[in-house]
Amino acid sequence: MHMSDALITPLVGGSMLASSFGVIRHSIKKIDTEILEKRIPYMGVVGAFVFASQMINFAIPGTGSSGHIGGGMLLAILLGPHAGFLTMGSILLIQALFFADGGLLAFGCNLMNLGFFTCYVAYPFIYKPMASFRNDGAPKSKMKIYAAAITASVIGLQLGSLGVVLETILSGRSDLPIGLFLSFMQPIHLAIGIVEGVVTAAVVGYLYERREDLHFDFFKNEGSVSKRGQSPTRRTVQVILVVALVIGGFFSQYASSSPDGLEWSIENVSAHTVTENSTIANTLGEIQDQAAILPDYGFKETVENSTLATIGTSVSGITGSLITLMVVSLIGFVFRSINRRKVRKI
Amino acid sequence: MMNKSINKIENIISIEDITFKYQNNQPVFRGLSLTVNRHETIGVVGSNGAGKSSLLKLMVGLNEHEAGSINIDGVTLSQKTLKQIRQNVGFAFQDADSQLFMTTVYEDVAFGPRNYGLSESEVDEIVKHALSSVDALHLSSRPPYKLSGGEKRVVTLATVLTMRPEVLILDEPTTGLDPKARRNLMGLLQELPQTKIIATHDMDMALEICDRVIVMHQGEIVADGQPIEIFKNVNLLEDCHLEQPLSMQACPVCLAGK
Amino acid sequence: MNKLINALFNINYIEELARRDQWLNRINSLVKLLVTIVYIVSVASIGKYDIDVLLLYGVYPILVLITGDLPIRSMWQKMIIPVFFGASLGILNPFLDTNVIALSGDIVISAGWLSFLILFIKSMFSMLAALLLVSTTTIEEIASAFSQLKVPQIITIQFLLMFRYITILVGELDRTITAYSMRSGGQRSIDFSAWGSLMGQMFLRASDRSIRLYESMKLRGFEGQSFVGSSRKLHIVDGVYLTFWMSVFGAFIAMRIT
Repeated sequence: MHMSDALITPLVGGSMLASSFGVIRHSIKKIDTEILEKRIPYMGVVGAFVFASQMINFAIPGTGSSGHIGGGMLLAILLGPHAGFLTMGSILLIQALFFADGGLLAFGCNLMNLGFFTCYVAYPFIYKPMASFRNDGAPKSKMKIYAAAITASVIGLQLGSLGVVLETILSGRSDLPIGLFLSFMQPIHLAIGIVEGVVTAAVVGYLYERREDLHFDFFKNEGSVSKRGQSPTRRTVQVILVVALVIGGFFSQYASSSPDGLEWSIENVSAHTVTENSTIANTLGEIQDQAAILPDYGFKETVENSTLATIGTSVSGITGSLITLMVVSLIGFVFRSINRRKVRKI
Repeated sequence: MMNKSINKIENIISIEDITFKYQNNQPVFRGLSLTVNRHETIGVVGSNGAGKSSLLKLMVGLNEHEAGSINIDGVTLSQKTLKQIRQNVGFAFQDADSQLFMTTVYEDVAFGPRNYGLSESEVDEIVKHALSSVDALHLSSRPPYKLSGGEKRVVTLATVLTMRPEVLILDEPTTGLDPKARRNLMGLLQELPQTKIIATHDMDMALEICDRVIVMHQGEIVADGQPIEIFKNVNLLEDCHLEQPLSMQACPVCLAGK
Repeated sequence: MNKLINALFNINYIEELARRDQWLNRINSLVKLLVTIVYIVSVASIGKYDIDVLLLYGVYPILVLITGDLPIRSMWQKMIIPVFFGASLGILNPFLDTNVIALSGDIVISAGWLSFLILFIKSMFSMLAALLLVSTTTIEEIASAFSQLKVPQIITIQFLLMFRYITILVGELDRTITAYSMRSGGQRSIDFSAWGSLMGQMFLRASDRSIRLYESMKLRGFEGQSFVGSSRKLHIVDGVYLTFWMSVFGAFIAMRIT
């Protein structure tokens, strides 16, 4: 799921944008510039291919429904992690601009959630070691490809989904307590990850059988042969630990301070009363008790605190804004009709 | 000596004894030679797999020949001279969508000149001139997906005319065009002064606009001469899995040649 | 529902709007990009319950929509579902946020419903802002703005090429799936047995196409350099536009502080 701008604060969005720009810089440096002019058209066309495949309905056997792919794993496999990450960025940008799927402020969040965890975590540390390639770059067996693709997709998407949860919670626009949030996000993305993994494996398997037709030997991309020395599992665990620490540390800085970065109006807002005793509140409260699965994990204290602090609304304020909008609309329509008459005269 | 130097000016393309293999080591050309005179329009015909496209690609270095030499307008083709030669040869692919990869016609035609580092005003002048010469100036701001098949081919021509090449190489330019667009393109080609090498299945076009026709079969040039003579030779055409131009098939005089 | 054709139609429709000769379309693309970004960030920074301030921000999309002579109804139709999805994670706010906000006098409103409404409006405003940008700015102008912001050219070039080829590949894919559905009793969902081969073949075709594209670019002098053209020159109206909106947004921020 692509995050929208409504659910994040500039602080969270901005930090993730900064992180993603950092990774982008890294990716550009790492791309083999030797044949850059060959890679760019390839990235363009494969990007279009992945974009198009996101719209394919994959009928899931046994169920009546169909699934879709995000394409992160496929991009990493077909283009290598660096070019794959960059191409994912372009795809997300087009989706944000033309399809309102993902926001512009949230672009960094989406790129990290859908691109970083697939291309730079799942692909190198799960897919490549598990798929285990021979020295000539070909994978050893179809079964291994399936296992590798599914595991990598699942983990990549789980991490991405976790990213969505954390970014949303830290922004504080949604009141979902973290427990409830995780309890539906993670299972959904588990299912999505499995479908994506199977599709990816099916494609890679097909291409593996047709190797002689391939012009770009993507199996040899960016050193697909797994490194000797440390066993892959141990390395994977190490990296996951590091990633978890980084994520935890990064976010904990912000968790303590106010989630609303530009909310310097807290002190300056005139106080309004907040009543908790009303029939509405009681009914809602009852529903909440039933809905909250893990009430102790909720961020409810934060919610209540910010409720008390940030009330700046009043009926007169709202009315004033609506009147302003109407006046502006009128001015706009007048301008437009003048403009149209001018064009017709010509 | 003098004869040789005159020949050099006249032979704009000189292919001598080239050998070329694909990656799977299957030989495509073995000792193939060809000379083309300046301002000639050559039709290259042959069945699929005869080697037409491979030959054309060799001339611009998209395929690398192993032995022999290729000389275009006084420059011998090598890794070092690729850029120079490609500036002097306009190559149009059969698939127009591979050629028109920018978001508007203007941007596509401007692509080449921009790559050669010209200023924006110079680029603008070149683009307008190239589009005018193919009667497509009105298409300047159109996105390529909004062009008809014929318009795409015409714009493709414009994209390769920008650097004012001496030679034009066209791969199947009339395939898939409706009669009007085909007629329009043929008219354009006849007006352009460049030396033209046209690979085609359109025998009628070859008959109408080419000065010379080369027949290829299994990597060899099996015939080279005037179109009417080549197309009268029904046995040759049959051996090469080709047919006469439609306009000749009903003609009793030509049929008498059978 | 044919997602593919809808997607194609969507992109092409928006691009056509962007290619009109309107005063708004003529404004410098970098200016429009900056205004869009500042707007989106400002909207995102508005507090959870500050609906009066938020409504004021509606001034921007309303003025741009109307004065830019954009088709309001069809744009709204495009947006309605994404706007819902954009606010979807707040859908439980009314049930989770049991606080109640007292507006002036006796009017009380559930904080949860207010915050959800605000999420909905924010979602609408920020999505509109992005849509307005692409409906009034062609893709090459956007790429040019990126270039001016020093976005590395590997990204801008790949972005432009990808945009162009989405049109082609989505069209190809639609034809492939239509052919598939005609042989599988009308269903457009791909059966498990065909997952690999359908995608695999599509990829191989795309891969072939990318080679032709690469050759085509190489023949016209491409060696990895940027070919993004320069955007329109800055005029006074660009400065006025930028100053106007920055002042408006600045005034809104000042209002929030006091």
